[in-house]
Amino acid sequence: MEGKTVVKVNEYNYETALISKSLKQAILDLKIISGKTMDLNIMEVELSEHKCAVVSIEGMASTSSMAELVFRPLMEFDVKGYATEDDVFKFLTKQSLLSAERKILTTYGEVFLTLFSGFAVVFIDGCDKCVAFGIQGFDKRSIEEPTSDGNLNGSHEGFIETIRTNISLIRRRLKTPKLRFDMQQIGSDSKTDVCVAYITDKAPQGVIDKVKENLNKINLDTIITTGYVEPFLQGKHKSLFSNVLSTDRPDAFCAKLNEGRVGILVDGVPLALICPSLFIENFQTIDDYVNKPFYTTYIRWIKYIAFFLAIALPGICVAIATNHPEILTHKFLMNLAASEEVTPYSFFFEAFIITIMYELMREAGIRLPKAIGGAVSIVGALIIGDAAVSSSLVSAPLLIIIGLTATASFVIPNLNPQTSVFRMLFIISGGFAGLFGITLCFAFMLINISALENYGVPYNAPISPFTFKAMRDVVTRPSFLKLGRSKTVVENLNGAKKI
Amino acid sequence: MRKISFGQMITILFLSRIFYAMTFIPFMYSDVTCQVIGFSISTAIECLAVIPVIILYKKHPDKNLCQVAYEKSKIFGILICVAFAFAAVLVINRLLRYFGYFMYVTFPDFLPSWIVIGAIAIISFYAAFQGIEAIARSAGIAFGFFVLSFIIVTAALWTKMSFTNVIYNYPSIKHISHEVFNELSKFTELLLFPILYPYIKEKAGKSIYAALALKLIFVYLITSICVLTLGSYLNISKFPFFDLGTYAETFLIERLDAFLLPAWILIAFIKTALFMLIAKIALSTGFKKVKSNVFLLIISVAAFAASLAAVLQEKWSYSVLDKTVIMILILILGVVLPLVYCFGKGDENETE
Repeated sequence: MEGKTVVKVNEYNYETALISKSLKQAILDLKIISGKTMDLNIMEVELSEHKCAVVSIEGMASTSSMAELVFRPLMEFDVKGYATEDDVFKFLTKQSLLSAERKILTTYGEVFLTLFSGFAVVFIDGCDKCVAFGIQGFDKRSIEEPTSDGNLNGSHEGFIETIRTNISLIRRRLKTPKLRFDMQQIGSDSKTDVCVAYITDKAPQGVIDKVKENLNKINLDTIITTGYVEPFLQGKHKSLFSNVLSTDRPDAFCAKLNEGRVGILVDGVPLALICPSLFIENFQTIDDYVNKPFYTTYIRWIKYIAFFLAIALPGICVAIATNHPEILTHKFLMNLAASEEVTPYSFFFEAFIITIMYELMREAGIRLPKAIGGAVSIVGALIIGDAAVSSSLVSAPLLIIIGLTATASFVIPNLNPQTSVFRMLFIISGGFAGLFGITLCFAFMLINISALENYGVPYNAPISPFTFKAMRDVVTRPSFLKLGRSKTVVENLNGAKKI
Repeated sequence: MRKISFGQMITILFLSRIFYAMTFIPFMYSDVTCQVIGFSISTAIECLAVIPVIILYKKHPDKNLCQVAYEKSKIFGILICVAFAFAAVLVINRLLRYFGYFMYVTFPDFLPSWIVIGAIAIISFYAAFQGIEAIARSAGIAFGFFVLSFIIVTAALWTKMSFTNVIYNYPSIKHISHEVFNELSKFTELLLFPILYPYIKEKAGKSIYAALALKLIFVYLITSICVLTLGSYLNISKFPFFDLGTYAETFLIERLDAFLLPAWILIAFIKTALFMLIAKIALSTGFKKVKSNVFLLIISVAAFAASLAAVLQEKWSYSVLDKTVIMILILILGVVLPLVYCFGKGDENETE
């Protein structure tokens, strides 16, 4: 039985194959499975005359930890006379403290999973089990300020690519045993660590179970970013908006867990996902809860206006200028007409072209290295913008409108993909069908958002369905004296269903 | 099954009615005094007319009228389902024609009418496809938009309102009865409610009364503002409430009529989507083997085609015969049938 398993083991069937008792065969199996990959380090040693092998992956395990926590204690192992495999195994598992993390493995699948996670695995001749020690030492980025969700007064720590560091960032902020992390490996090839985080007495059990169920449905080979996981968490509804919130801030993540949400961390990604989420949360930042309520309320309304401007301003301007000029005041109309008189194209076409140019420059600014990214801004602002106006290709009012729109879109970075697409749709529909087209576009957006729900919670709650209590944190920002007393959690919003 | 709240049901029923009120009230060439009396009488009649449906709801809280009819008699049930779908197509047809006319008059040479009604039909189809919850949530936003538009227009017109514009005429019974008939022919909530009540979580009966009360309040408000602002111009104004927008002026913009347009569009598409949805529900109750979205597509195309034929011939208005057909359907499907089924044995789990 055992012989058959050893002979047949290869890179396709290794996962459940049992470890060979013979060290020689086990090493051969490892080499066959890994295809003699150059980063597989196998070091054969003798412990009291008994043959063993220490296996690790180059760059994944720390060499100093290996020397200090594995080799030195192993070399100190000494029994009088010849040591049996049971003596060595007992020493490794019970009589020594080689490292804080220790696992007993029985299959090659487990061996490779632990090796690729930075463990060192000790094989013992004559033993069908091996022992893994956690001595991870791969290079990782240090904790830095979040790049996409900046703030002034809150914490300046952001998630990094290493999931365990991210877990520690969360645990440090929520020192309660009710905070749970359930880890699972997803991706048939990548075996990526995906962690579900929640607070037991706050997150509804139905949501936790559903999130885990959705994660188990993922049948991809690899999980490289959160984008691979997100569609499985979102549900079947096809929408332009995402009902799964992402954040790179541990403080924001903890705040959401405290509100009874379920968080998902993916190894190798400096972002965490939160579900269920609401549309209105795209306008909330951690600074909102640092500043005085009056100022936050004011800024929140600025953000709502910014969203409206980012999506609809160019479209409405095009609609009015081309289809409804009668609603403009006489002076305004004269000024607009004077500036448009010298340009060769229609207001609609100008807006279309300038918006495309803006999107080009924005994309170039993101993709290029930071040093060159600045140059793109200079090219955009000084050369193209100024030259376009002075050569009368584009009217100055339109450039102001697009500039204002671009600035407004920076205020709500979470909704940037949606604002970009809808802005263009609004321009096209406004140009062809005036305010009628704009309203149809808005109606489409409204239905698209309204149809969306996540884990039983309507995406556009608490606005519609309306929940008065929860609207306090939408229209204003109550002080913590009131927020602390309030027990408005998402599953209690009107329209929310228990799952 | 129960998906929408009491408030959302009120909003749906209110918006399904307010389109005509905000488009045509006060009616051109009609006496305002008679209209106001007519609205009050018709609302009182409407309050009585909904009683059978409410009793039916109490007896069968989880089954709509089509399901109740289908369970009693399969063939008759199918007939009722088809009748509901037919009534819904007629209502959508009337709405699209009125909307096309509204756009044709207010924004001439803007877009061809067939594109206007086609666009509304497509967006309504999309909304109906998303289901009752999506429509109800959108209706909440549309209602907010309507109220906001109303407040802005009223505030902008505040200085232009005058009691000297009020013209009082002695009401005649003939005119009042005409207004009552006119208003009752628009009581399409009686088609919506028997199909949608299984979806409401609580207080279904109260929601329809609340919607009627809200409708009456807004009708009074719209009429009052139109009379106080427009005066004798009302006699020649086709769309008095919309015309208020041309009078309304702010320091930012010259006139507000174009800014009122979104309220019309949003309400029109919500009402169209609702009737597409009830037609779909009715037909899928009668013909269970066919996928419900197939019915939705058929209903949408049929309603659009019927409207298109009328719009291309510029046949905008509804004749007395058309109104009578709709009124008979409302009477049979919304009053007589529920009354008949009221006497049957009810379901065990009553909610109210």
